[in-house]
Amino acid sequence: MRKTLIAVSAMMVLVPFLAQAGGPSKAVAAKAISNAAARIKIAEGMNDQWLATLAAFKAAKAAEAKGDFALAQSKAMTAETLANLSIQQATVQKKLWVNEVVK
Amino acid sequence: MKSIIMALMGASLALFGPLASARAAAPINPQADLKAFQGYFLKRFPNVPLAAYVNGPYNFSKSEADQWKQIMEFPPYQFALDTGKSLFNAKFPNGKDYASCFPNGGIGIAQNYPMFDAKTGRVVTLGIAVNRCRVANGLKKLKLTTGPMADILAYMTSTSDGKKINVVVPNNPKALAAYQAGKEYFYSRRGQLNFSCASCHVQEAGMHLRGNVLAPALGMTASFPLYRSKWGNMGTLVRRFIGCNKKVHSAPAKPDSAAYRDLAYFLTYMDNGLPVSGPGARP
Repeated sequence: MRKTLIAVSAMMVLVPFLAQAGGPSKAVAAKAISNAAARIKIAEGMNDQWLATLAAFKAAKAAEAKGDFALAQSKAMTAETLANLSIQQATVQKKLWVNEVVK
Repeated sequence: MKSIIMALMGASLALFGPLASARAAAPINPQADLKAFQGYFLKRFPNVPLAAYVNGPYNFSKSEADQWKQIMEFPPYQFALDTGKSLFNAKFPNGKDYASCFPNGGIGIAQNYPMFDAKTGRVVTLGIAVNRCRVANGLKKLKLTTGPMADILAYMTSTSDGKKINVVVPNNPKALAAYQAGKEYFYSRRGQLNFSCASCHVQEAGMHLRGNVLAPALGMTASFPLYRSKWGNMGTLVRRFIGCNKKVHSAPAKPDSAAYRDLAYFLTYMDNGLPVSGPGARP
């Protein structure tokens, strides 16, 4: 019984640390931010940047600065996804805008 | 997370994918565009004469038009006009002034802007020309959206009041490309809301967006710079572009960007033949 209690207590102490150890590292978050930045640059070059993209990217950088790498990675991935959508929108519009022209 | 990304990408494909029946790009023909553009509005709103389009939303809302007439008894841009005149006539530290930078001393020339500068291969708006003048005379550029720039433009535009807009797109590949880029920008959907300029100002022109009447694109440039009650001060056409971009959740371009220069070029060319009616006042 005593051994079981010690084992459970040890687990309760260790689990949070182990969970954190399994979370994104600074390098992983930085990589996610770098990926997002690359896509954002492309979207900007296509004159189609979404405000939500920039907000998510800003949040990622802020989280990274605070050391919350899980949040930084999550926000960076959101920013990258939104940037990809705007790139896709701009790519499609390159062909489709003519359909809206007054004839 | 990966599955969410895949789902979002899939959703976007579903959104944009079926729209794959784009028409082939037509040759660049500004004159034909102008005829079609003005013809579209004249046919759609047969009770609004061409010259009246410079009054924007007031053609479509009697209550707003009545308020506007009352407001114009004491035009809210009058202070800006007076300030602009003083700024325009003030001497630079080197003894020169704005008049020295423009044909006809800068008086009665606003109807010719934006114009294409063959030397730089770029479109020059009146605001950018004012900043060029400042830089040439050792002064810093002014902000292109509001403040002293809007005041100076208000004065310069007032000296062209009633003159017909006469923007020229010369037969120059770069000029035609700039015009076409502006046209493409105007008709391209952008931002998270997937709206183009034309979505509101062509397709929904004259309709209500909540309490506001959407002004038609035709005649829109004729009354800038203008005093907007919403702003509480003067703003230039570029300021309006920035506001529209933000409304569709798109990050705005830089005020002196090629995107906005070209957009102003196309949009003002579409107003050729309409009288300058600036500065103006809007809700």
